[in-house]
Amino acid sequence: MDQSFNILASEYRPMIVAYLRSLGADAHLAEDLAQETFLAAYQSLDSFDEGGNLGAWLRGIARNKTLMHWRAAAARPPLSTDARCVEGIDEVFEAMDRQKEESDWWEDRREILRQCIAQLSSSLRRAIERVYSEGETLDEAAATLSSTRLAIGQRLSRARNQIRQCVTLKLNSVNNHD
Amino acid sequence: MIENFEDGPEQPGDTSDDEAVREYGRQLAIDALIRDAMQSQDVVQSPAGNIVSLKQPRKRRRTMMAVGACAAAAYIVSMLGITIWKKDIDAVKGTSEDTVALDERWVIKAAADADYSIVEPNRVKLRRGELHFASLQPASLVVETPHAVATAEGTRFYIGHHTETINQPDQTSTKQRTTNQRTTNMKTTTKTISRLFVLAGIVTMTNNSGTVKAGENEAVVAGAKGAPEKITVKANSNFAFDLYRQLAKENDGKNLFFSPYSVSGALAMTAEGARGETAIEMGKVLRFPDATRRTGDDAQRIPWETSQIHTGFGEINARLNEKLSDVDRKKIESQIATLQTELKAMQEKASKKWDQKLNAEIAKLVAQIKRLDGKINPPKLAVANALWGEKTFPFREDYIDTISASYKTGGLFPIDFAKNPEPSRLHINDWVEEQTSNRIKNLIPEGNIDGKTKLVLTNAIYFKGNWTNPFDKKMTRTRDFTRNDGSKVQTPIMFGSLPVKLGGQKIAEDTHVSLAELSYAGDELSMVLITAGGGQPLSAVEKHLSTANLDKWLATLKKGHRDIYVSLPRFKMESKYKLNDTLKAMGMPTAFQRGGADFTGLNESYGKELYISFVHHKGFIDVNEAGTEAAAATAVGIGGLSMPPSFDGTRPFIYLIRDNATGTILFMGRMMDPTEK
Repeated sequence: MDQSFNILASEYRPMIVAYLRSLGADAHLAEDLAQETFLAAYQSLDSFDEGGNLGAWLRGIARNKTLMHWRAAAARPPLSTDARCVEGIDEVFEAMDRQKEESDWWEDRREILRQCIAQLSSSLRRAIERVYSEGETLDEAAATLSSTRLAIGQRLSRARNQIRQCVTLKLNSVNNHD
Repeated sequence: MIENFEDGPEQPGDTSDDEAVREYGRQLAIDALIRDAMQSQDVVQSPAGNIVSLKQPRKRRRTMMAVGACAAAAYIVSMLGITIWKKDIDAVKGTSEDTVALDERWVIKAAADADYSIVEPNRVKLRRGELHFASLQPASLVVETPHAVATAEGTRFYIGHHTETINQPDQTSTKQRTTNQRTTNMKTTTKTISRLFVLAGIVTMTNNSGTVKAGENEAVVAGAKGAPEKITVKANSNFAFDLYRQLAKENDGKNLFFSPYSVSGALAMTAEGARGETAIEMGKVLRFPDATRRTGDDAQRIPWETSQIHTGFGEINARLNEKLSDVDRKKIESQIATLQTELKAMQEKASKKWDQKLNAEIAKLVAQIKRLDGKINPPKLAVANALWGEKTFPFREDYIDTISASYKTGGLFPIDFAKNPEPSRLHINDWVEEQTSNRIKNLIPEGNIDGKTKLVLTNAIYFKGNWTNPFDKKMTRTRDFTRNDGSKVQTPIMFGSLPVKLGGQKIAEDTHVSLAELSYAGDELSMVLITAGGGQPLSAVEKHLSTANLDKWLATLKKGHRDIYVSLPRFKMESKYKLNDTLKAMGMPTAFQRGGADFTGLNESYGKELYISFVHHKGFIDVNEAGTEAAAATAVGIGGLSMPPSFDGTRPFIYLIRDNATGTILFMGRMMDPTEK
């Protein structure tokens, strides 16, 4: 595999892993499917239109790999792979896409998310930290934060909505100044 | 495997609803993005910003972009406050600065927005943002900022270079910006400053106009012109002892427990909104240093240069809330693993033959492993601040901006005091309870919040730490504790032969002060016990209590720990103070006067109708064989309108829980009778 593709793959890999996770893959499966996605991308690189959106092209491959995985497993695919759901997922990832020649773009996107997380109220931030950073379940987070499972679930939901609004605002301002 | 979405977004109830399923998809995407952002983060969240651990040479952003695109991207990124290497010619060209590594005896951490380069192994050039340096062994270091040069020799310090924005009302207009009406009649000026905050050791800051040495717990500020200005954060310690004296007077012969840091934090936030005489009195009670008194035309109205005080609080809060980064944790874990292998080999050797020297080395190694273990499992310490404002009241936005920036209040929480005072009170009390792990309940009593309440400022602090060397539970016995009047009460006393730092000195003709320092795991925090020697009552020491004397007494603590026999009561207590009269007696009556107080820093038009209606403080402490749990919270309401080698803790004593690096007194108390609850 040539060096330039390796660089490209390393730049897009975290985005693709996050995308696969939103499609319902757990951490291990997402890594495996990302590997398959980049291998397939390399093999069909010729079919990629140079002026096209590389992120969207890679996500398309990742999506197919996910559906193939469920077909092979002969299992009922999760709701996350439903076409309407994928539409919603794609909408968010498209907004996060690389703009022009941005370098280290995905790290910048992560930084935007971290800034939005830092702006949450402390109770929401703590819930996010327990579940997303420490990997605690709702019950564990409820015990740590002396709260209830229901309350933690509600905090997470509120936090996700606030983060989404904040990220949208920040990304809009990026695009407006681009 | 399928992802377990149990902790993720909730699936739509009706999967035939297209929009609901699409929305579920958006939620899943956000869920995955948060996970990715948080799990990829090798930084420690701190109120001062994202501190990036830099054990390895800092990764440079690749400069693949064309020059035009670079300028656009830099603009976008700087607008968002995201880290980017400035387009300095040096940085883009990639000079030797790219490849030089810092002297490995120094550990450097950089805030996310820091722009700096390592010029030589012992020379760093800081252009913007904050850096934290800690030396593992004695080593020299020079940090250059645009305004000054800081020279350190084996120590720990923060150094920053910032552009500060100051909002002042435009003299040509009487209108103000408010949270509800975003008019722009404020004059905004900017200035750049370099600031230094020393945690341990001495750092010298020099520029063309002069040199200043800063010691532990001191900060230095250097502007574009003039000599570096030394400011002090000792105000908190002075306030702590003043408050202790006043509370001791009001609670004669009784136990005391409070967090001076919590009270001064809440009051310092309040003081930012005060003007004129109200502000002068508050600043004096809070012991703002004379160096922060303002001069000039409006000095009577705005008497203190409080930005320096708030900066100090911001830096201390950042330090107290600091967590170990994953990279540092891994490094320490690998150090422990190496030492354990070494220890195993030594123990094997020692089991075959008695070797005193070898046994001493083993003991040293065990202590070292314990110390390192304390660093990865440090005491839990958290400080939080919040502003709760009546949602219909137009607070000055510059006030909220200033307080949010230093105290990380997350802005102002709008709350409906006017129509729903009781639910508002319960909401604030819930926040306090959450911040203190349920130790401080019902901070603001019923009836204290009413429809006239405009603002409540809260501070909460929580600490839980294990002793570096715990007491053995089996050794705890019910024994006599001799009260000040000579009477005795029976109480559980913990006994142990423990490595403790001891100190003491003669402070008057017939009075000797005796000190012991018991450290918590990690050695960053400790409990200092102070008592009177020679059977004197505690009051003999209390009358000498001051920051200067405490510094002298602490200096007598012997370097290194030695095993001594320690006895200390096991105790648990809760305290509750309404500090209105206490603070008035300490010298700030005007702030509490309806119609007399001036809080025009909160609102230009209605500020003279505002006053402090309450200052509530509650504390909780549990000292036992394993360690200490302590919590405290403060709410300020603004309404309208030569001793033997032993430490005998079976007599009354004073105790402080200190952050060793800054010397900040986090909690303070007096034990007169362990049976009193």
